[in-house]
Amino acid sequence: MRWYQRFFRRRLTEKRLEAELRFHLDQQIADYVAAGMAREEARRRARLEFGGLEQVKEECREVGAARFLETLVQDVRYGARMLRKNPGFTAVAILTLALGMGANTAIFSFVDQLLLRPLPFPEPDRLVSPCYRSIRGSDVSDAGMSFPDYVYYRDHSATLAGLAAFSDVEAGFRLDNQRVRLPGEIVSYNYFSVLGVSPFLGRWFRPDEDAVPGRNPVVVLGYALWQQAFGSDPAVLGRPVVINGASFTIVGIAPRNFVGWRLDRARKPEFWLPIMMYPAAETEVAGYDLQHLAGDQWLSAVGRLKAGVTIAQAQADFAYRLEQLKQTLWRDVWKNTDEPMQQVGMLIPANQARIDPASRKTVRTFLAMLMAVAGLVLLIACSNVASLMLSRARKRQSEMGVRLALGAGRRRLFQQLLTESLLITFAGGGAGLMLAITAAKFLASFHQPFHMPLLLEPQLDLRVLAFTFILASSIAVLFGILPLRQGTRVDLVLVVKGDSGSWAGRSRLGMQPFLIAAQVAISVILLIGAILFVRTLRNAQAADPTRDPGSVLLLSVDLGERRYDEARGKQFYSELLARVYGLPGVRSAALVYVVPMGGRRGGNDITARPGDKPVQVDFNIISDKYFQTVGLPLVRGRNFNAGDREGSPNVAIINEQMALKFWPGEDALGKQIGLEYPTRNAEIIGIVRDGRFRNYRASVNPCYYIPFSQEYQGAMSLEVRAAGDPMRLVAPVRRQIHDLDEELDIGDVWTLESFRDAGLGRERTSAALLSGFGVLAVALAGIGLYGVLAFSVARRTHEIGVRMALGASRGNVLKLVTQQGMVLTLVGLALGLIAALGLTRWIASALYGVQPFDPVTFLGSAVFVAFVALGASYLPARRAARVDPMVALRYE
Amino acid sequence: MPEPRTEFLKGTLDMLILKIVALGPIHGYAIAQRVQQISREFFQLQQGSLYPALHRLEDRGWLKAQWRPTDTGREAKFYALTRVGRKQLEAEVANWERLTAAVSLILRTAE
Repeated sequence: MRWYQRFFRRRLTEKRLEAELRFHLDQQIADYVAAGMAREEARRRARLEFGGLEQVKEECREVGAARFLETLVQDVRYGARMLRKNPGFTAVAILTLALGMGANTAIFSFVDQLLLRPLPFPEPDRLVSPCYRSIRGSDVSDAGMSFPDYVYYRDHSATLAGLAAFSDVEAGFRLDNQRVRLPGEIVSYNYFSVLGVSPFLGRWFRPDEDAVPGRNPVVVLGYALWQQAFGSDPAVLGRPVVINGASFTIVGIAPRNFVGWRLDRARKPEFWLPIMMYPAAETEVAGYDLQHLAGDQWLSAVGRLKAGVTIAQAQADFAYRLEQLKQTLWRDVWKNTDEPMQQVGMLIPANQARIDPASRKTVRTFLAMLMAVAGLVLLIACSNVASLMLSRARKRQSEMGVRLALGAGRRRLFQQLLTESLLITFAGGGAGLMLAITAAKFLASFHQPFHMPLLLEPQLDLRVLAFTFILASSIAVLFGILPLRQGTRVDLVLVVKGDSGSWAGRSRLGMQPFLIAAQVAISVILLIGAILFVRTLRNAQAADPTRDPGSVLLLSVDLGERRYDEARGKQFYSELLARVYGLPGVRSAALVYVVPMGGRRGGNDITARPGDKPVQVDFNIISDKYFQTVGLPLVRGRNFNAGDREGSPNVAIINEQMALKFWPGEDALGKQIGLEYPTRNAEIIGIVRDGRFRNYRASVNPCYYIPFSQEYQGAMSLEVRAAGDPMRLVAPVRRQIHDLDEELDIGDVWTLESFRDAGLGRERTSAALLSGFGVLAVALAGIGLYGVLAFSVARRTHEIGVRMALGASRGNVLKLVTQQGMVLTLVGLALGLIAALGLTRWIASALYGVQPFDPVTFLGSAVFVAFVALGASYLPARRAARVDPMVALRYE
Repeated sequence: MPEPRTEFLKGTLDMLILKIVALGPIHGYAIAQRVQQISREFFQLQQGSLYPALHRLEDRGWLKAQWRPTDTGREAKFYALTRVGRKQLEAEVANWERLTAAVSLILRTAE
């Protein structure tokens, strides 16, 4: 019986063994009885003579296992020795396999996390997310709800067992006298019961704790926070914790790993507050009655279907409720815009709404691109391994032939080759696992690789690892045992003579040329992708209108959290600016409301002439030295100065675009514009250079700036241009802020450059990944080509010798071999360029400032790959040219 | 239980089994009986070691096995010699004869 049969047919084997030995015993007993022995005595005697039945069975079982183990150890040893003897082959094979497996595993893990994995709650398919679709377009987005909207849906739904509302919050905690800002969620009391989770300790919120604004300061802590800040002490229940300066009572601890159900957030929520605690949690809305304000759609919702209700029924119900809402509550709220009235209600399975459906498509497209790249890498890896194994198979043809001739069993050789192939794949798999871990961490470490905050864990999907491992190892094994197939066909006489058929020439290379051409094709595709993305990143960075953004320090403060009124806030900021100006190493400093390239913009309605219809344009609030600090040149007029105060005439600076749009052919300086909220006029005193401020893709909008002294905002960013390293200013600036207010939280510290680059996560991820893969692909293709040619030269030594003896020059030989390589390369390049033409259109939307068919990129990539291929062909060609005809001919 | 007599020389058990099986397909119990009959005077066959030996020989491809009914109608595992097994038996017998001839030659000349 073969060892593998033994493996799979263990039960049958066991039954047969038992039957065989039982037969022996029974026969013996029967004989003794026939000889006149009593049955009992016969049975006793037979057993005694036979010895330990179990022991005999065990010895029989070991027969196969022992042989298998013995040969396995032998094969592993021999295999490892062969691999050590060919370190180049081994390293390339293992690296290639690792690359294919690692890249796919890491990237698919993100696909799974973001798009596929079911929600970690009971009956996840009954959870639904309310969304709105605009009838003007097909865009679906999360249904933003005001609290009254939410209550209406919750109380009138006939198809949902429960509807819960939630929103992100960030709050300042005081823990052990340290102040930290933590992300959390503000949720309706039924949030946890709708999702179907139970608290780890304590309880969730009671309905009466979520009924009156500000009345019940209770909090549920996340498991991690409880562990880190409270040492997992179960006695924290009932104890107070200070949040945003107010005392809250801890009533429960969420289960480990509970992070809500949405993924589109930057950090995991660490605490939960009832919605009615919004006055303490949402400092920006101080003074608003969110319980009754129908115009502020600050909440999102998640619902659970009643048993037996289909999602289609629930959707019809939801859409109907929305129409009711439009007739009643909304009629008085949405007067200025009809946008909300154009919406249709939809329900989406919650699992598909873990990322706001409005952005999910972008994430999906990006992930699809990454998967495609990983797939190409896997293709390269597989073809490279196949090609490597083929080269090896040829090298070992004679070894196999000799061993067969000397009487080695085919089965035994098969087992040995199998072992060698598996050794390589296991090593590759191990390296692939490490690579996957590194790649996943690398991807997760990119700031917002999806252009939006997302909860990404560097976790690995073992199913993919298993899948890629099986794929790669079957290829390795398939091609690994080829020497045997070919070995048996070898003419032994030729093998022993050391001539493995040189005259058969090219045709004997079999499928290897195709594999090489395919690798060249894929590597040129990846290289084109890499260049397109690198250029996109460069262009995106170049779109930044500021000068030398790397030396401008950026930090943000929000005085709203400290409940400053306008007078105190203004005083704080002017004192801060004065103090910062006094620090050594500061060139200039300014305040700004909306930081450029942060993805946000301020918008406001203006009228250029009295009586015009209001038009929305961008606006920003800045202090005096802002343009100097960021390096945006003033085209005409003057900057704001100390004379522009509260009470002095309102002034504004506009950008060139705005001057062009509203006053074409006129001088905008001195014109008055009408502003809203509050309604007032402002005189245009300066025109500043255009710049994209929201992000690099945004069109250049008309934009006006107003001085901070004339419009107060509590949350401002401080920008400080340093003479040297801006990071050296972090500590002194912080000290100045805390001198003014010790309790004030300072957000993340950036430079303008790092802030801008943080917003380019997707561009940087794409550029880095594709460049890495592209370069590796080209390298692998080069190595593959080199291997094939080197092998072919080695085999054709004799032929080359003959040619040279007949008068071929070294140059002829050089050309002969190089030509062989370049033909393969050109075929591959042609295929790759054609495929790239078809593929790059899919990434057109992700590119910026470069066309998907950019001829320079295409040509450049092709030329680069061609040069690498030329190098890879030249080395074996030179060896061929050095063949000494005398030696080559005498060899026979 | 009979007194233990001379142990089988290492390797001779395999040869004896091959020899017995060479006479025709035969099951384990019958092999044991034959060994006992032929060698009662000299050897003690540990019955427990017979079956591991059979399995080893089968595993090496010297014996092949088949399940078929005995005279009593009960299914038993019958062993038969393979082509390789027959060659092996010939080799071992030849080897054995050379060995014994050499040993007795030494014993005789040393006298």
